[in-house]
Amino acid sequence: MNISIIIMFAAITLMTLFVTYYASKKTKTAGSFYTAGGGLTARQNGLALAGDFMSASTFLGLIGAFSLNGYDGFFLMYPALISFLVILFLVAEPLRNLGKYTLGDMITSRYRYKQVRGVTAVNTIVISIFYMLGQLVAAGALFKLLLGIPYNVSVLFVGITMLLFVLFGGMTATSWVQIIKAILLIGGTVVLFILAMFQFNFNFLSVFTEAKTATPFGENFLNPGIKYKSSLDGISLTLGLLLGTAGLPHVLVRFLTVPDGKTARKSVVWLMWLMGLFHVMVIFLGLAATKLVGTGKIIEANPAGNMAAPLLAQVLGGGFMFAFVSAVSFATILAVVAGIVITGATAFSHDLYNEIFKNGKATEKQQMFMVRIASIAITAIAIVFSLFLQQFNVAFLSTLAMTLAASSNLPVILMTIYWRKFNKTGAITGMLVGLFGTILLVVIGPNFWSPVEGQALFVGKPIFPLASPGIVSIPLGFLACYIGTIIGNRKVVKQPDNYDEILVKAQTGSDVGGVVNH
Amino acid sequence: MIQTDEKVFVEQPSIKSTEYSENKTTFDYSSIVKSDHFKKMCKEKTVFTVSYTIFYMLYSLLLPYLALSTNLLNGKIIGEISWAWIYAISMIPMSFIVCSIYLKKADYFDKEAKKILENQEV
Repeated sequence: MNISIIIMFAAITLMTLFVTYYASKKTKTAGSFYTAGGGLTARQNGLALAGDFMSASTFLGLIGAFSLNGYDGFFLMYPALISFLVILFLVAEPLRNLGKYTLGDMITSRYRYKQVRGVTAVNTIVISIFYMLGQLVAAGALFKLLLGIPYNVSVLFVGITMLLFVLFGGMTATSWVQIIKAILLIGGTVVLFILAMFQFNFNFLSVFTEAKTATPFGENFLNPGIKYKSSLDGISLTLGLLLGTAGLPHVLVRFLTVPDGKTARKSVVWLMWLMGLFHVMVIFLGLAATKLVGTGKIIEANPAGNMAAPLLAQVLGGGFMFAFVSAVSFATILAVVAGIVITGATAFSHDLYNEIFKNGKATEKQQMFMVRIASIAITAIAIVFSLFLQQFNVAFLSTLAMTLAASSNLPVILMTIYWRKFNKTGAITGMLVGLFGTILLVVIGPNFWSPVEGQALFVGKPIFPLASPGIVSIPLGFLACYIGTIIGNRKVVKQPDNYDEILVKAQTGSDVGGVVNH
Repeated sequence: MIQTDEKVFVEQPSIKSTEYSENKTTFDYSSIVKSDHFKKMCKEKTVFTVSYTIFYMLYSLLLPYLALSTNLLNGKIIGEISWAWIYAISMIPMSFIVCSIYLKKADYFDKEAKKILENQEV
């Protein structure tokens, strides 16, 4: 391990502790711990959203995907950008106008039942743990590759560092670490992009021509179909990624850290510009890695292509750039994992502990204690699972979390806001069927079963043919909401209806003033 | 189960009107929903949201179909750049354009919402 890497990692760790120290002074109440007091500006939240959403798989995975699969890298990239249009058009403002600390608050603003809150909270925690597993497994594999640190030590190091600033700095520290990470990530990518394009004399067309000659796929490298053969699988994957973001609890919670719907909307715009700029550079960096590093070397370092970006950095800027890219990856993982932990812990402390077990009467001190305990517990569970899932496909874990979110949370969120007849039974049925339906389809699908030994967990023919079940599980979630609603509306005792209130608040933000000072 | 529902229902706060902010402003939500101004705004919002959502969803989902099941996008335009690349890269400007249209329209809806609430303050 070279000295630059040690210095860079130490700098990132010190920076997060410094941010935590200042944030801890402002984190005195449960509200400030959960959502940073709801006082972030659009630019701050846009950057924090970028820091929250653009994970190591975005940075390392996408550059790797373009470097090895050429055109097919797009299928993993563009749905992420478009998914924020779904959030912008359908979710961001109503969520800000109706929610307070958690997704459970938003859903129960319409159905004030403990069952609904409980299912939403458990759903949030399950999705968060699945998403976190993907990040921790990636962290372990990445630092083993980048620095030679053993997998188990890497997972523990990331988990404990992240936990330190979550425990003391809450959402304020998490937001600032995410903002700084987004600046580092985009800044680092710009530097890498300029250095890479300098090698091609800034002739962008020649990047394509030269990349084609440097890969065994030749002409086909620039055509669709190297990795994805079936359009049905491609559409299913795209659908899961397009709709999944709008159901991811840790992304949705970011809209509760701003004062109103207008700021929520503007923060999405900030994110989309940052992400669009980042995506353009990623395409060229991937192709540049093909030419300047070489497909063989990239695969030799990691068959999934995750080492393409660090290897490209080494070719372009030597040990210093390699260390810088490694440090950015470290900051990236820390920021994403922290966002996930705080979301899961808030769902436990606010929804399960305060609202359900204590009937909303827990003191600030009790809630602060419980959210910290929950942060430790969620991190510990994710670390333990990560240690056993070392050989699991990281992309699969993240995609599964996205599909779970799209199938269980999104239908309920949309119907709560937009369908008058939707009721409690529909909400609970939709969430449970979406959650367990997706898990079942994955368990009977090609990720678990393959006729070829070693390609999946079990040997055998998969009952469900698609690796990404979104095309079935997402409509299933919506259908379950519908059927549950029909059954619920048949009951003798009518469920209370406050849809007028929800509609006005969601569409006008009439009540959001009351949430500003939470 | 039914009894549980009933009990929770009784415990619910009033659903007719709710306090607004610290200023204690209250709204009669039922009458806002019934007002023509609110109905008109909701209708406009629905038409706008649904039409654009259908557009960008179809635009996105069409790419894997056209790219993986047809040869329509294989033709080259400049150098090695085919229509498939142009379509895929166009997702970025398309997002920016749709996003800008939304921002403009949202400002209009904000003004409408403000008028509706001002007219309905109790």
